[in-house]
Amino acid sequence: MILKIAAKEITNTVRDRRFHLGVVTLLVLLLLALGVGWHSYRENSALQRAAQASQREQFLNRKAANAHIAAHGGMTVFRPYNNLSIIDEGLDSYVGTSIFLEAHRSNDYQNRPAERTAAVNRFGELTVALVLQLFVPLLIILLTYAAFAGEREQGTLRQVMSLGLHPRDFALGKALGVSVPLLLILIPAALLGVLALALSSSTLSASLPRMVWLSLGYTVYFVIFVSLGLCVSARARNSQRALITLLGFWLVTCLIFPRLAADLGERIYSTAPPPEKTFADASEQAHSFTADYLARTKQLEAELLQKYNVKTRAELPVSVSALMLYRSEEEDTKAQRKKFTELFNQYQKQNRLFQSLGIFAPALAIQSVSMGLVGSDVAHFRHFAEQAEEYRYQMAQKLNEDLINHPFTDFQANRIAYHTRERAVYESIAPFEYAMPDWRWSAGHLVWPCIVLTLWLLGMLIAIGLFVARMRID
Amino acid sequence: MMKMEFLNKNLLRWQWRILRRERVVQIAVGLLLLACSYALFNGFTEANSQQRDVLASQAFQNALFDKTRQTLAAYEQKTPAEEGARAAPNAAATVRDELANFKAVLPPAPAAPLAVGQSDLYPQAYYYRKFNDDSPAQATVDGRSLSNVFPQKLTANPLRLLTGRFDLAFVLLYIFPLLIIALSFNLIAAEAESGTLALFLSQPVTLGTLVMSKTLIRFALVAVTAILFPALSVAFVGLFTRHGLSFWRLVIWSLAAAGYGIFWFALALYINNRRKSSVHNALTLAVGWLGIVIILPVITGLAAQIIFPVPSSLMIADKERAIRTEAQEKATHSTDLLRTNFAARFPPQPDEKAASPRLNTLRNSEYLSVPETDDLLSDYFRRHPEWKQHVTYSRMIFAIQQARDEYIEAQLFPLLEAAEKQRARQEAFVNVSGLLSPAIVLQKVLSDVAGTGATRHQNFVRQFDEYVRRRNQFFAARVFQGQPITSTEISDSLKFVFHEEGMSKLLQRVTWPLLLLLLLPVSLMVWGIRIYRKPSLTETRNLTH
Repeated sequence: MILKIAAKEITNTVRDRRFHLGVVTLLVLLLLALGVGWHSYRENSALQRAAQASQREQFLNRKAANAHIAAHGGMTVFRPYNNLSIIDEGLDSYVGTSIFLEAHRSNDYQNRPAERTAAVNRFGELTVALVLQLFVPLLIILLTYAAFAGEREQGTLRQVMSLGLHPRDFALGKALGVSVPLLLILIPAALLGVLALALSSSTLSASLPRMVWLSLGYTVYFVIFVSLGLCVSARARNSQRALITLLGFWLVTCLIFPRLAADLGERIYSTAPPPEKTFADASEQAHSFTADYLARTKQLEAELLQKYNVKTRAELPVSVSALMLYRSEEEDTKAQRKKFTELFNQYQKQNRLFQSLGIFAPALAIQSVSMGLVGSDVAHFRHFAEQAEEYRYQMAQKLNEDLINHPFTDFQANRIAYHTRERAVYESIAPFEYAMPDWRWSAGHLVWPCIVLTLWLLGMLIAIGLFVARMRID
Repeated sequence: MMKMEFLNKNLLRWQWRILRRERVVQIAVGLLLLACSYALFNGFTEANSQQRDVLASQAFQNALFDKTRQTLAAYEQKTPAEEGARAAPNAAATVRDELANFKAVLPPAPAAPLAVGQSDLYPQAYYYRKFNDDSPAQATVDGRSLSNVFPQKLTANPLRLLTGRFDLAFVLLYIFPLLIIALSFNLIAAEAESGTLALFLSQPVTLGTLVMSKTLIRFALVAVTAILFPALSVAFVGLFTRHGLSFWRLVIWSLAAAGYGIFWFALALYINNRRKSSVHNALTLAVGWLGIVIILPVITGLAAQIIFPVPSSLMIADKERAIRTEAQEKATHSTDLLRTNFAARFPPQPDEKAASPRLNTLRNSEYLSVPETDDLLSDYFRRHPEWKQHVTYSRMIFAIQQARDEYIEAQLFPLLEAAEKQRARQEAFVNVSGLLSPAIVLQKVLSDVAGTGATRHQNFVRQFDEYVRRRNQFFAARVFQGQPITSTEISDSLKFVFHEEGMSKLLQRVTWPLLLLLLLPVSLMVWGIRIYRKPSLTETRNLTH
C-alpha cells in the first residue's frame, strides 16, 4: 500500500509542470555551482601552492644585515584550500587568504576576497551548499504542501482514509513519493560532485568521511523539511494556508534567523574593540619596548658578566641585546596570543549561540555543520592561524638565536660575516607545512549543531506521527 | 452612459475599511514595523559608536598637536647657548615623527542608519604610525601601498559578514516585497471566487477603477510603514545628532524604495490579470520574488566575477613581499654606497669612531653628490630635482628612506589599482544587469545614499593617501631646505580632514539606477492599469465564475 501511494504521488509529481520548472532550475543551479566551485578550487589551490613555494624561495634568498633583520622581512603563508570547498566555500570570502609572519608582531589574516569584489556578492555566492540549504527546501515545500491538503480539497482524502489505511502508512507513502523525485535530482548531482572531487585531488580517501557526514547531515535536513511539509499539510485548513505557512517558515528560518542570530551573538559576546583612550591602546605595536627596557638590558648584562666571569660586554660569548630581543619576543608573543585567544573565544561563543539557535531554525545548524565539515569555519581558521603563529614564533626565535650566538660590535663587519652563513641559517628553518586536522577534529567542533539537527529530526518524526494521526479530514 | 471617475473616493474609503480589518494585514504591517524599528535601532547604535571613535581620535590628535606646539614654543624662547648640543626638537624630521601617531577615522556616513552596506567589510579607520625601519616589511592590507599607514583591525565575526546584517536595506530588499505580495496576490481572485466581484461590477465602477483603488490603498499602507516611518525616524534623530540631517539623501532613498515598491505592485497587477486562482497567484509571485531577490543577484555576482576576474589576492600578497624585500635591498645598497663615498671623502682619523663629533658635524654640513650608480636615489632626485642641491650625508639617509617608500608604492600601486579597476568594472556590469533585477539596483542605491558603499570608502582612502603624500612632501621639503618647523606652523592645516562628497557627485552616480528604479516600475504600472481599463464582457464573465 505504501508503495502504491508513493507511485501515485510520483506520477503526480512527474506530470506537474511546476515540478519540471523547479527541477530544471535546481539542476542548472547545482551544475553551475559545482562547475564554479570546481574551477575556483583548482585555480586557487594552484595559486596557493605557487605562492607558498615562491615565499620559501624568497625567504631562502634573502640578503639581510643580520638574522633578526631577516625575521623582520618575514614571510607570508597561505591557507591551503580544501577540496571540499567545491561544495561549500564557508567563510573563505570573509577571512583573508594569507598571514604575514614577522618578528615582534603576530598579524591577522589579510586580503579578504570579498573586499575586492562587487557589492552584489553580498546577496550570497552561488555554491552547492547555498542550493542545498536554500533551494532544495523550497522544492520540498512545493512537493509537500498539497500532499494531504490538496487531496482534501479534491475530496479524495476522505475516500482514501475510508479504505482503512493506517495514517502512518499513508504518511510514509507520501514521504516516499516526495523523496524519490528529489533523489532523482540529488543522486546524479552527488555523483557529479564526487567525480569533481576525484578529478581535483588525489586525496579523495582523506575527505571520504567528511563527505559521508556531509551527505548524512543534508539528508537529515531534507527529511526535516519533508516531514514538516507533511505535518503542515495534514493540519492546514487548505493548501493555500499550508503553502503560506511553509514559505513563511522557510523565509524566517533561512533568511531572517541567520542575521538575527549573528546579531544576538554580537550583542551578548561583543568583539567590538573598547573605545580607545590613547594611540598606544589602539596600535597593535609590540609592548615590550617600554621605558624599563634599558634598565632590564643593564640588569641582564650584569647577570651575564657574572655568569661568564668576564669584565666587559665585548668579552661575552653571547649578545646581550639579542638576548633581550629573544625575551621581548617571548613576552610580546604571550601578550598577543592572549588577545588572539580572547577574540577567537568570543567568536566561538557567538557561533555556539548561533548553532544553539538552530533549535528554532534548522538552517543555522546545517550551515554550521556544512561549513565545519568542509573545513572553512571559524574553528578551522583559528587552527591555521595558530599553527602559523607557532611557526612565526619558532622562526623569529631561531633567527634571534643566531644573533645571540654571534655577538658583534661592528654592524658592518658582522654583516659581511653573516652573508657567508645566511642561507644555511634560513635552510635550517623547515618550510611551513600546514596539516589540516582530520575529520574527527572537525566533527568534535560540530557536536552542538549535530545534536540540534538530531533533535529536529526526532521532533519531526514524532510530530508527523501525531499530526497525521489527527489529520483534518474535511 | 454616465461618466465614471477613474479614482473613486468612496471606493478608496471602503477599501481602506476592509483592508484595515483584515487580520493578515494587521499582522503583516505589524511585523514590518517591528522589522524596520529593529533595523533602525541597529543602524543608530552602529553610527553612534563610530561617532564616538571619531571624537576620541580627534581629541587624541588635538592633544598631540598642543603638546608639540608647546615644546616648540618653549624651545623658541631659549637662546642657542642654553640649548647646547642636544638635537633640536624643531628639526623637520623630528616634528614629523612627533606628530605621527594618529588615527584617521571615517566619520559615520551621512545617512548610515539606512544601510550597513559594505561598511562592515572595510576598515573604518587608518593609523599613521611613527616612522620606523620595520615598516617597509609590513604587509599592506586591503589595498594600501603607503608605508606607515595601517588599517584598523577588523574584529567582526566573519560569520556575521557572511550572513549579512539585519539593517533597513535588508528589510526593504527582502521583506518589503513579500509584504506587497501578501497584500496584493489576490486583488480580484478572492472576490471573483466568493462572487462579490460580480456585485461590484454591476455598480458604475470599472474593474480598472476597482483594481486601481485597491492598489493605491495598499501602496499607501506599505509606503507609510516601510518608507515614511524609517525616513522620518532618521530625519528626526538626525535633527538631534551632530552631523545633522541630510534631507536630499532621504528623498533619494524614499524615491528608490518607492520605485522598488511600485515594481512589485506592477508585477502583482500583471499576475492578477492572468485571472488564475489566488494560490496560483501567490505561488507565481513567490517564485518571482525568489528569482528577482535571490537567484538573479547571485547569478549576477557570479557572472561579474567570471567576466571581470579580480587578480588573485594570493598573487598580490606574494608579489608584495618580493617588492618590499627588493626595496629594502636597494635601500641597503644605497646606504653602502653613501657610506663608502663619505669615508673616501672624509677618511676617519686613526682610532676615530664612526660616530665621532667631528664626523657627525661633517655629515650634517658637507654637501654630497648622488652617485650615478645609485638607481634608487638617482630616480628619487629626478622626481624631486629641487632638493638635489643641498644634500648632506644625513639628508641622504633621509632621502633613501623616502625613496624606498616611494619605490614600494610605485611598484605596488599598479597591482592594487588593477584589482580596483576590475572591481569597478564589476560594479559597472552590475549596474547594467540591474535591468534584470531591481533588487540589484536598489542594493547599490541604498548603500550609496546611506554613504556606506564602497565608493565613499574609496574616497576616504584616496583622500587619506593624498594627505599622507602631501604631509611627506611638506616635511621632506623642510628637511632638504634645512628649515626648522616653528610652533605657529603646528596648526589644523597639518591635520587630516575628510571631505564629504558633494550631492552632485552622488546624483551623478545614482541617476541611472534611480531612473531604472523609477521609470521601469512606473511604466510597468501604467501598462498594468491599462490592461484592466476595458475588460471585455466575456472576460468579466469568466472572472465571476
